[in-house]
Amino acid sequence: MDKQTGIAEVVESIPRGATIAIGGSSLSRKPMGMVRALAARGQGDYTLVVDVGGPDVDLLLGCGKVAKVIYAFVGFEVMGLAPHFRRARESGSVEFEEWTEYTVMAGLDATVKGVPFLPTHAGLATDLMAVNHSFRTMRDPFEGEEIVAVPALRPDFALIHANLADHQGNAVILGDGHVDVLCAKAARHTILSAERIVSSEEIQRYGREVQVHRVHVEGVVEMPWGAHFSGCAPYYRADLGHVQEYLLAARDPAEWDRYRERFVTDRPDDYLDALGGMETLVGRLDV
Amino acid sequence: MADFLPLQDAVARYVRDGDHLYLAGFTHLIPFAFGHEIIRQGRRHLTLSRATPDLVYDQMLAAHVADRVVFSYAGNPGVGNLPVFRRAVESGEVEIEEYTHFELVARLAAGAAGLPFWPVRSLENDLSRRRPRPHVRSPFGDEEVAVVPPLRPDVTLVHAHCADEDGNLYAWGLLGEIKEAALAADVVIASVEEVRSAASLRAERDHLLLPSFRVQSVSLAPWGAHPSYVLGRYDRDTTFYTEWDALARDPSATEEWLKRFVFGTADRAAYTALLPKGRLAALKEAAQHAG
Repeated sequence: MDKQTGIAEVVESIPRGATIAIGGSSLSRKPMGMVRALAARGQGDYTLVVDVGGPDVDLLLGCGKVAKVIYAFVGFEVMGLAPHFRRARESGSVEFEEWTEYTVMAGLDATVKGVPFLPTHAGLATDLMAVNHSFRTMRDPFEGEEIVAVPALRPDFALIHANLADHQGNAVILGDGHVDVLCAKAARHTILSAERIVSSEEIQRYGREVQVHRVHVEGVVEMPWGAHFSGCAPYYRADLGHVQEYLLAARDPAEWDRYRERFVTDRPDDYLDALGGMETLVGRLDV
Repeated sequence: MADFLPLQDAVARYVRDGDHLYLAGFTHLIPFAFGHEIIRQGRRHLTLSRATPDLVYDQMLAAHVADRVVFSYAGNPGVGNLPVFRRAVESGEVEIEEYTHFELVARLAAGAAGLPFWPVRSLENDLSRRRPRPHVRSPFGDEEVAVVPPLRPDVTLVHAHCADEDGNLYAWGLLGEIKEAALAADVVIASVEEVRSAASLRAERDHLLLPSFRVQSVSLAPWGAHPSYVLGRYDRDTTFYTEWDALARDPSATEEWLKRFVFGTADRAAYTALLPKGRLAALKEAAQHAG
């Protein structure tokens, strides 16, 4: 089945108020092309689910598309804090649920396994139980030990950026897969962007690196540089120069409007042009 | 950090009478060399856990090493029953504790995570009717969820393609429940086909099976998984799996086989020397095409 689709169709398919899990991790392999399209034209009021968020969460917050964020961490790694995330947390303009990296994984995994919760020791005797009211404690039926129950997380959509995909939705992720496979399996609808669409025969040669399987995928969009300005190992590094530009723009409302005008678009070609074209990026960021 | 030990020494040091053992590997990478050495050293009263007991446990039961078997599918795949296992169950020599595959892996997941139970979505079946499963009430809504207790082997024994000089283990192909069984155990001992330099494995880190700090000992044992297989090195000895059926149905033939191939051999090299002429070469050749 040919699942190739266009970015406009993806944006249209995601309704207002949808819960969206986003793959990747901070400045690594974020599905930024799809995120930018949602930031530009999405219907909004989204609940975002991320293990480790970065420019994805921050951009959608900065464009007013978010009602709630479930997250373990959101930030820009060595480049510092995520400005719109920080502002939204400080003002309380958006609802936040702070989880931990393991509990986000456990919540997604509970959905994959078809159980309402998974047990963990993580969170016991920490402030997490006080700041996050989603978790419950319970007694183990064998020894009576107290443990934490993490509720199942069931995203409506998962957005994932892969190195390679075929038209059926099998996808190769090279290097760290982060929690993308869990997102793909737990979500009702999973949509991939990929640096390149290749034949199913070529995909098969990658063996275990075919991390996302077609049964979990509904849509595939070919999008070179689709993770920019996060990185996509082993093809290109995170664009720290652009992160700097983003952070400067986020300081001032007028500057931020100009940034959005220039870069936040649902047309990947326009975005690449605004950056000075693919050749410039290759020269700067190719590994 | 793992010690490099001769396989005999690893068994002598880490496997004691009465231990709960898990010889891991699903069809692939079954640690037969360890099974045979445990037989030679005359261990008794073991509990043997394994999703698929396979021929390795049939052989170990023939040598009366165990009192109890915990498992989720007992058979000789594509051939039939495990005749020795069947006799031992019928005579009452071993107790059994049977689960579904998913429940057994869930028990290992709980053991590996240090958790007191694991919830499972698994329908009522003849196993759960025979041995009712505890349930907990989900703290989210009113659903009753079946749970299984953790499985925590004293020793998990694994066979891998190779180790590096530090004892990090690498494997390719089907892994089954090896990682879960190893991470659930107190002690992990490994046999490997070869030792390779860490430098040569730099690009293969996706194939790291277990890190050295989780492994107590590594023993060199080429052909250590025979008659099961090691992807890319030697194919499964299907002829032996087929022959085992008739052999194991006859207690005195089984006894003879143990005497010749296990008690009569000091190590893996002596064992493989007894295999029919051309068998090893044929299995190696077949592995090149099994890709």
